[in-house]
Amino acid sequence: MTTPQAARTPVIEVSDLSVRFPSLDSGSEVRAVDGVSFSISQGETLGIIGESGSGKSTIGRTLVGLLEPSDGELVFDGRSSASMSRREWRARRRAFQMIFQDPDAALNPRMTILQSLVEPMKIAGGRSAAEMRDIALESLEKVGLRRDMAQRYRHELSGGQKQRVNIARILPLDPKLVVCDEVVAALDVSIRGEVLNLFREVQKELGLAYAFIAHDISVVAQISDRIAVTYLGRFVELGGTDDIIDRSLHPYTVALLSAEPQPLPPELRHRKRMVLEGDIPSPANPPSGCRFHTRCPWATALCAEKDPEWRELRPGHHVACHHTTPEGLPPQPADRRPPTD
Amino acid sequence: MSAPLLEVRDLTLGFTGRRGQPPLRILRDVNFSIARGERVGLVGESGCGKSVTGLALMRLLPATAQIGGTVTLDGADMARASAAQVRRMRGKKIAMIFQEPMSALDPVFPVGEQLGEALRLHETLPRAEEKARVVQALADVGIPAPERRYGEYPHQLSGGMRQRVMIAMALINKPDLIIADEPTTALDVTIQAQIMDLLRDLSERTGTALLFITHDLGVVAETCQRMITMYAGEIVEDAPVDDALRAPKHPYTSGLLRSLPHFNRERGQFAYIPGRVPAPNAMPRGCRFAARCPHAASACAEPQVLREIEPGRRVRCIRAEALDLDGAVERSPA
Repeated sequence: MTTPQAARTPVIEVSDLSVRFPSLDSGSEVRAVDGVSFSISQGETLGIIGESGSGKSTIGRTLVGLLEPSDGELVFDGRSSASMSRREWRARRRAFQMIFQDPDAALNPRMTILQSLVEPMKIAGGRSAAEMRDIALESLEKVGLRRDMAQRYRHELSGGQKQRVNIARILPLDPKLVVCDEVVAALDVSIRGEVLNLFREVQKELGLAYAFIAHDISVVAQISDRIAVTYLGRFVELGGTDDIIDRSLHPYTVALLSAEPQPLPPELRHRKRMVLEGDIPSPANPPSGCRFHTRCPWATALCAEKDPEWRELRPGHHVACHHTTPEGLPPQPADRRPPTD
Repeated sequence: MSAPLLEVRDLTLGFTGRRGQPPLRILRDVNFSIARGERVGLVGESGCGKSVTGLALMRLLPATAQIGGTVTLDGADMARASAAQVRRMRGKKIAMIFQEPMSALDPVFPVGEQLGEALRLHETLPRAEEKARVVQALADVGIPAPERRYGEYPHQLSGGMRQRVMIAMALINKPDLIIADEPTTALDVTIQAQIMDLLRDLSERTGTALLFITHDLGVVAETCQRMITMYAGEIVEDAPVDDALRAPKHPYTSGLLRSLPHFNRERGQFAYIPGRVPAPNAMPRGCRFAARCPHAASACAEPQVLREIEPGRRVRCIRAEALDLDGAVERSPA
């Protein structure tokens, strides 16, 4: 069920976003994010997948204002973040919240759960202590926890319960977009589903938009409306979930999907493993041309020279690759097929 | 059939409690064996006892650990061997690979030096020959330019390369069994694929048996021949990997498999196992999984035994024959 894009209002529009960090040893810059454009609509989940160094977490942090863009802009309701005063930006930023991988990250060990729930409301201001307390307890119930949890401390809660509290914390702030950065990676597989269902329920109820960042493609595929695939600070492919999973256009997407170990008997694994050679290059010194060319079985001389354009090859399905076509990738060059299957 | 390479009999593990506290019982009635060259996956969620089982086999547990039962490796009892005997067996007979290669490597010595040290513990070789063996070991695990890598320090290597170094170190004395505890969990998925392929190929080529400790059932499906599921300190199922994936016989194995999202599944509700693992000091008398089990019945209040229900398949569930459990794929399409 892909949602019609045009019908919905974008919560955020990101154009040509770049985030650079000074590099410690070379005096040069690390381009953590290098020219990325996308938008997220109300009620939509955009999955962002990629490996370490792909820039996915940097994108997430920039969306909530934890990092400033070096170039490009973020536009909310038709207005650029750059054109806002500090105070205005601070007030608006409240609508953009983040939940982290480590369930402990946002919970002070010396605070009761109630205090942790009240804290963000205090910062936002405008509510009496009694009001904040009532809202906090209501939020606990909304995420499926009993009210008596409020008097406990974080070490008394399981990982799944803590992640529920982290969801409960942001609800009173009336968020529009929540950046979920590897939110279930620290949880056991057996309980991930329970927390993911909660994310989904909360989204439906409040019409939230999610930027769902994860390295686990199977989780992203099951929760996202659209998926962006990142590699070394760039998007290599962006499209509806079914397009990305079943009709991948970029060699890196194909490799990433095939690398995910499938818990299935051999005859049901319908993806042939394509093992990429070599390591992910350093984002401090990315390869020339197409950044994936050093590991790509399809790469030709052109790929080392020229940066591929970001093209919309099918409706809503964008890709940056010289060799792919709207029907998919041509057969893999025979001389570069790995010897084993 | 020849004797198994590793035979674990009635393994129990407890830790002495603080003053006045009863000891914490972590493992109970752990029985399994591994044949020469066999690849076995040991799965379960955190706290189920899979990692301590690995550490117990390696005799790497602290002095407060009380180990019971026998661990026979190639005829010798690891559980009762003296410290000196254990040192001779570690590396030579049984080796271990950990999740985080950076914490297992010494940051101030070149990796070649560290591999050489592992070799020197068991063999006396001329310096040049030692180096040649180390370079060969690095080449065997697919490290490009092994001569150059020999002199490099751990921080100069990527995560995937470091894990290859750890595998080279585990293999350098040609052990009969390698215990790999979450060896790919810290790695990116494209690098994980390389390391899994490497471990499988090396095991096939050298005849080294592999005990793969992981929470990732996909890794087990693609690497191992047999899967042992642990829950709350006990083995609950032991089966050929394909059988376990297709038709698990223990509701916990089934629950784990159903909890995994995979991208060819319809989008909708995520499946999960409600509740959590009971704490070691609050284990129920009967089936330890019963409180979370959708199939629990009155018989489950009694202690459960691990029993063979067909050749090569063991399960700790009194209802195993009566249940038709979902595996990685639905049994009957709705």
